[in-house]
Amino acid sequence: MSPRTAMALALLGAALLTGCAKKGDVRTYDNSLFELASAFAAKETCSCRFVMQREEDFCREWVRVSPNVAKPKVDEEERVVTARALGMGKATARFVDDQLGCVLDE
Amino acid sequence: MVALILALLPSPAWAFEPTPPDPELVDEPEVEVAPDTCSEGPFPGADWEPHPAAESLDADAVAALEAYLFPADLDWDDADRVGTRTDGVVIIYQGMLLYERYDHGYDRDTKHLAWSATKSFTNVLAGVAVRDGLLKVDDSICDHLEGLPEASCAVTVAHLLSFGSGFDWLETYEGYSPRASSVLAMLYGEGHTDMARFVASHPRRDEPGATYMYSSGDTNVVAAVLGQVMPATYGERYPWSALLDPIGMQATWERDAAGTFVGSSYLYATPRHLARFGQLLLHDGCWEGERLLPEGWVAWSAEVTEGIRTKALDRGPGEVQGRHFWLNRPVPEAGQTERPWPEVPEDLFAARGHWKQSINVFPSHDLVVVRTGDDRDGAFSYDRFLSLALAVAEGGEP
Repeated sequence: MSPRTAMALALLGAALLTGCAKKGDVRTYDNSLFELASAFAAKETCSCRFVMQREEDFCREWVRVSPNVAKPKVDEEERVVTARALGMGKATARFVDDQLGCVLDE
Repeated sequence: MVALILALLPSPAWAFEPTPPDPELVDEPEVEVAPDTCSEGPFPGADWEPHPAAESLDADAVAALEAYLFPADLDWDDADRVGTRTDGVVIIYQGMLLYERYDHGYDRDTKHLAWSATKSFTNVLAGVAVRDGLLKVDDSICDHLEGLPEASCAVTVAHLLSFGSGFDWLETYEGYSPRASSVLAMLYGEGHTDMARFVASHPRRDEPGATYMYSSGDTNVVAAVLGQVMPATYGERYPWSALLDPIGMQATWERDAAGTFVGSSYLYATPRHLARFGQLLLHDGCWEGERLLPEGWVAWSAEVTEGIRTKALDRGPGEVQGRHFWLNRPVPEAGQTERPWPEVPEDLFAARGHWKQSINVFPSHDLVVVRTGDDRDGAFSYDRFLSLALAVAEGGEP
């Protein structure tokens, strides 16, 4: 495990614990942090690459959040981005066309 | 002044409970009255014409603007992303391009995410629908959307446009428990397949119209209503045929999996094209002599709403909303004794988005200022930016 991954896991653990601690008094939705992180990374990487037409390095930074656990994979040919967060919460976004941009799969 | 114009005009036939003007707000004759007839422009044709003064701008004013927007010591690779990070700025003065500059690898042809500045586009599409008689602002959302919970049927389009649905909503992005965020759940979680239905299924916190609370959810219910009323006239790609094509604006506008345009968040365009939208509003919803918006729509959208005055929940510092526009108006009843940006005129109104996107309209100065950005540290000052931009425009007086 790289130091960076270890740091991300530690931050994520802290975030999850905070979430649990707050659960009593704050409503939460059904999605895990992994699902939210993956969907954000997939959709925003897709739009960054194929709507804004920015380069890969730029888009990696554009979608970086803390903790940055989601890893988007870009299929340049099909213009599809799939992301997972620590292997979980798979999400896929697809580029439609220049007007309609990208959409997250159901 | 906008309020004064409203006070002098009969209420527009489409208006829903027009808010009586506040005498405290209408007797400051500081700015000139915006034209209420359709102006001949100039409007941009294929692209903006350069302003004759663009080559002879006040060098000190430009240097001051650039020192703020494009700080020389900014490190784009800084891991903490601190500082003013401007991607693009465009100043349109008297209908012509006075100044522009780009950074961060953007140029005049690169589209930028507008984030919540998109909401103001949704307002304007609703205005087009009202002009065409396809929609009334006091229609219940259940007049147009089937299968919603009965409790949500008391919500009207006007409630949504003033962020007064009363749905129990939490609008937060970074910095709070992400799993509690309604907006993240809508865009990236359980709500993303059909955002409007997700929003309208929330329990009620307050009676519709009784409170103000900024909500991306409210906007996406408007978008879903538009998705029902617009296509018969304008086709499935109604944002283009009804609004963007007539003003020559190229943009991307993304939808959810149910086919509803994400009216809250997902419009992309270049700063030059975003400025066309500003120019439309500057001219009261007219373009090249043709009225796209009903008379009085822009004024109605840029007035302080009852919810803000009397019961604003979670109102941020300087947060004064009209109906999907940010206003530079004091609201003493809400404890906002000064206008949010004291250095710039009170008639300024703006579309604004996350990471400090903005389309700023100055009716009294024939001025539109667009800024795209990637500001992540919360330190950006609209007041400073806009006053510096205004100084560049005023120095550009031929």
